[in-house]
Amino acid sequence: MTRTKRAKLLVSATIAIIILILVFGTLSGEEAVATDFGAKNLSPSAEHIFGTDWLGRDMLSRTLKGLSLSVVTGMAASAVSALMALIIGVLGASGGKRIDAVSGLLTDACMGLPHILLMLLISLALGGGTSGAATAVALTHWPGLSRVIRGEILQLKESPYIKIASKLGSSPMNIFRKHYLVHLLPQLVTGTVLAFPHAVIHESSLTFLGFGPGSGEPAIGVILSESMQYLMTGTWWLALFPGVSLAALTMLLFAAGNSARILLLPQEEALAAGGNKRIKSGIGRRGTAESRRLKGNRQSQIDDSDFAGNGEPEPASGAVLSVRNLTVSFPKEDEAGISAGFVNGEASGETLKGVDADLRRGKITAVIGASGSGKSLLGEAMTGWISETAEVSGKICLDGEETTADRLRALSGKRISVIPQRLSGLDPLRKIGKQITRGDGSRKAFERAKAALAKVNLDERLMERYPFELSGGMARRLLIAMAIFDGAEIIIADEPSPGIGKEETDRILTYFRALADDGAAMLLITHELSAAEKYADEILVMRSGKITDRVSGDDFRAGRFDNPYTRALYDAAPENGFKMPESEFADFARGETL
Amino acid sequence: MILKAENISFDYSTGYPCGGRVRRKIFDRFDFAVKSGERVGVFAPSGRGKTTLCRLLAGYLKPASGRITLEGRDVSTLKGFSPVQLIWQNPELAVDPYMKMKDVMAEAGGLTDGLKRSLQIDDEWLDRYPSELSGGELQRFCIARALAPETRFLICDEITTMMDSINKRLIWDFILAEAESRNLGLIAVSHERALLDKVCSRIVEL
Amino acid sequence: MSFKRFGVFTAKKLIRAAVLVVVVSTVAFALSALSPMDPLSTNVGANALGSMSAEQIEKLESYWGTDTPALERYLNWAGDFIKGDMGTSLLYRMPVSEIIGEKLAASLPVMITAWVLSGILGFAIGAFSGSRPGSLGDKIARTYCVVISGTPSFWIAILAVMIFSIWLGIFPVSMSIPAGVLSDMVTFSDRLKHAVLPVLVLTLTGVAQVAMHTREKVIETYSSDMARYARMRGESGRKLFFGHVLRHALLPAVTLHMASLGELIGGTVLVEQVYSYPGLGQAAVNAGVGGDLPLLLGITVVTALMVFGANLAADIIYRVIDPRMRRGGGLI
Repeated sequence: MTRTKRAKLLVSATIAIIILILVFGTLSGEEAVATDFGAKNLSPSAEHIFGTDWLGRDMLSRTLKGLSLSVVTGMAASAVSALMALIIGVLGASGGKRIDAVSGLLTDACMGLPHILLMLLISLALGGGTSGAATAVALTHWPGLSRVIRGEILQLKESPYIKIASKLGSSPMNIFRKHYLVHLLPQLVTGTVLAFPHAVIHESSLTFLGFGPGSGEPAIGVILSESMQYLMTGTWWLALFPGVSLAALTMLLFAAGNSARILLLPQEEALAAGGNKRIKSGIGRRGTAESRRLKGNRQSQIDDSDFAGNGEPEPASGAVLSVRNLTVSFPKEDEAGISAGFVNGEASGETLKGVDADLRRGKITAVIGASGSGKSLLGEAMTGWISETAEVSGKICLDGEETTADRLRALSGKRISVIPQRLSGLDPLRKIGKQITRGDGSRKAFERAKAALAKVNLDERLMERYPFELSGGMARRLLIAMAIFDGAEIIIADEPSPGIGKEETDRILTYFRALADDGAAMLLITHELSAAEKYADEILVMRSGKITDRVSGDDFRAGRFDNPYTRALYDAAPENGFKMPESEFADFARGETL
Repeated sequence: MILKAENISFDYSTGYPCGGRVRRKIFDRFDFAVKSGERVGVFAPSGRGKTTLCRLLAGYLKPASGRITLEGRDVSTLKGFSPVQLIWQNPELAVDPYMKMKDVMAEAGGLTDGLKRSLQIDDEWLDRYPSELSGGELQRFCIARALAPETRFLICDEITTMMDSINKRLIWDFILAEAESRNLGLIAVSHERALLDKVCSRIVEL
Repeated sequence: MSFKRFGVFTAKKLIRAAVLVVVVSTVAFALSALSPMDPLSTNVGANALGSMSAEQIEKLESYWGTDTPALERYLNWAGDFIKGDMGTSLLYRMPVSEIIGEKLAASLPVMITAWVLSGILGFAIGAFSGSRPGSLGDKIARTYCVVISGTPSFWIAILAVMIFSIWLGIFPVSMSIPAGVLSDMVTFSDRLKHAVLPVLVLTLTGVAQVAMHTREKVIETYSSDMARYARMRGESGRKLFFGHVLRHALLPAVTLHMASLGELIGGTVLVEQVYSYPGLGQAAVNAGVGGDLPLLLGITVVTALMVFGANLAADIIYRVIDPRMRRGGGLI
């Protein structure tokens, strides 16, 4: 059953149960207070399912009546508190600084006292009883929700799309209706629904303490507090059944509240699902048998007999990491793709179709193409960090021998390093030194880390600093240093120049060239021709998952290539003429812009 | 028509990517003007204030001193559909995630068939939520949105920075054609000098 | 952080505390003054009142303060409070500060123990759950939290009495010391035995919030770019958790738990009622029912200050531990 179906079921069931409670509660009104001294302290039986108390009153009737009382007060209290939360929240967010300060003070005062104490005081002020308790609960429940509402409104106010709306001529009324209301309503409704069980708990707690309905009434709190006196005499049913019923009711209400949230906020569910899709997890269907072999089945032992050659061209000599006829796709339901390894998530939605590529020591292999062409996915496949649900076929070879994705992953940080596109991979809460050495505090590791920093012209004093103290350029160089620390043998560099200027891009590329010259085998993934062109030894052009062209660096720089797509890509660049591509290539790519 | 920034000053508390902060004076008695039909490029390396200038010119921000005017009237106080439209750098932030694309477009008065065709926007996409489209597809919607009939000036803030060369060329081909046929004033902001050289008739450096 | 900044920070907080005390005490006073309850009939009894002379009633009224207008009473109280005198409890006939001190000595050990235990336990459960979402262990942990947070705490306390004290007979049923034993004959282990159930119940109920919150944070952290990059550098398992995830989850957990003191106090009130444990909670209830204004006000202000203190501590911890706050991130 899908989440939505389950949610609907739960909500309907809860509503039904509430109605039943109200109905039976009302019906049991008389029985709940009728005493019968001939039936004192009877343990549960067919006639009295919940037993009777010391006055011979039927516990089932009392419990039902008590529950219905709690339900009524709970509903009223949560409705009132939701209204108060709305008013105070809206005022705080849109009434100007003074009003916000006042509402803030009110909120702080309300939250500054333990909830029970405040309710106690209010109930006292109103003379106790059912109305006292109910009012106390109603008047103290708004702070949490009002803060949520206030926060939501403030965030909306600053959102670009709200500002854009007014520049598009939308009237404040329309902006309120189409944007604010749509964002706030679900919060408000779920807040109210979730306040219900809280209200029930609080009301019964207050009553239990003696600040609610008095000892005559069959309120649950009263029942339970009175039952305490008789516990020692063995009449356990006096406390057990009413208590269990109350707990069951509140748990049900909480579950219904959460279900209501699922139903009312489908967009949030979709957003969360999209986010969750990026989670790398072992859970998921495992693709075809061949794909399992390639990805590596952790349980099975992998030996040479598994790797029967099937007539595919042998990996080029001198290649340290190669792929042959690599094909990757994601099942239909997963079309958003799950970017398991790469930090920018661009590999989602991409596929690979029969790709051959080699990474050689001392050589930079650049992959260029539009977003969605498969270049990111290729990089991902080479690191082994490919999603469990991917369908993979083809061959991946390390040092000339076929290998699996598992084995490649095991080499992360040892022989294979990734230089990610985004800086968000850096841990803001950890010192740079420790991050480079991955927690190793030994002298040797630290010396190596300092040496790595020196190679990218970063001062060794940065070891004691935190990432946020670096400028963007320095942080990018740090990422390179980390790859150097790891050994810089096989490096996958993802978009080295995301929206940064020519000068800085050139500097980074120079470091890359130096790394390659020191022996690294580098894969450079980029959408920018100039970046690929500068120092690459080989350039692979990708389109729709296929490699459409392979050009040596020198040939590319000299303009010696005749593949029409490559020509179109090249000529379209502003620095190369800004030529309009032929109509067969004049399609907007699917991809991300980031 | 003339869009003018006269003697403006603006400073900003800006953040490093990983969380630190620094105060910076971005504009100090700065002057800038664009005429209808003109294509002006604004060039500066990252972080120099290009986005801030875009927001000032489109009336999203007010300068600390000086004025930004369109035909003499202050842009930040214009009512109704603003003739100065800004295409933001991050399309994901520029659309309400809870609105379907057709409603997003409706806010600007709808999407003409011509624009739909030129920007290769699929009909099916109109029924989707922003999270169900890629960044590139969203950006094309934002471009279409900014090109409503009442637009007179178009500000493009690094809109093709992350695109491959063919995509870049196609987008600019479209924008330049629109700008010419409607005599729009165009302001293109980018750190790519070569691009600005090809697209603009005049370049201002920050 | 510079001394000047720290000074400004402290000053602002002190002012806030003072304002809070004023607001809280005013509200508390106003509410009690509004109460239709007559402390005379509550404490002395309608019968007794009926048989008293007008003079005696006048004396009582003067004692209980019902003959002076509310505002005057508040101002008297406030004046004394500023001088450090919280007045005399009408029910116990001892200085309020003494009573609060006594009750705190009983309640505080229970509260702090429960607080620390629930914090550690809750964090551990949350971290465990978040590291293996969807697993059986996670499901069990989540079910526990859902059940506990959905159940009234006083009911759990009653259940605990029924199971441990009555059915199993392990722990005493109520009070903080054995009944009928002279106070200097009460041993430490006696006190301990009587405190176990309250601590147990408060711990069990206090775990849920921290656990769920931590679980969310841990899941979030494991799916963040930072965790992905760490994995791509070969960090996994323990290294990944202790090197990265722990810190990101610990900070919010600590601040959240510190800020939950208010709820803990509320829970204590209920639990003490169930166990007849003579702590601050019980005193508050008695003061409320009995119209003992000075004591009620005193307790109200003290608890408000405790909650304020805990929130302040949370604030400071956050600013001190998060390096972005410490260095150039901006303090206030």
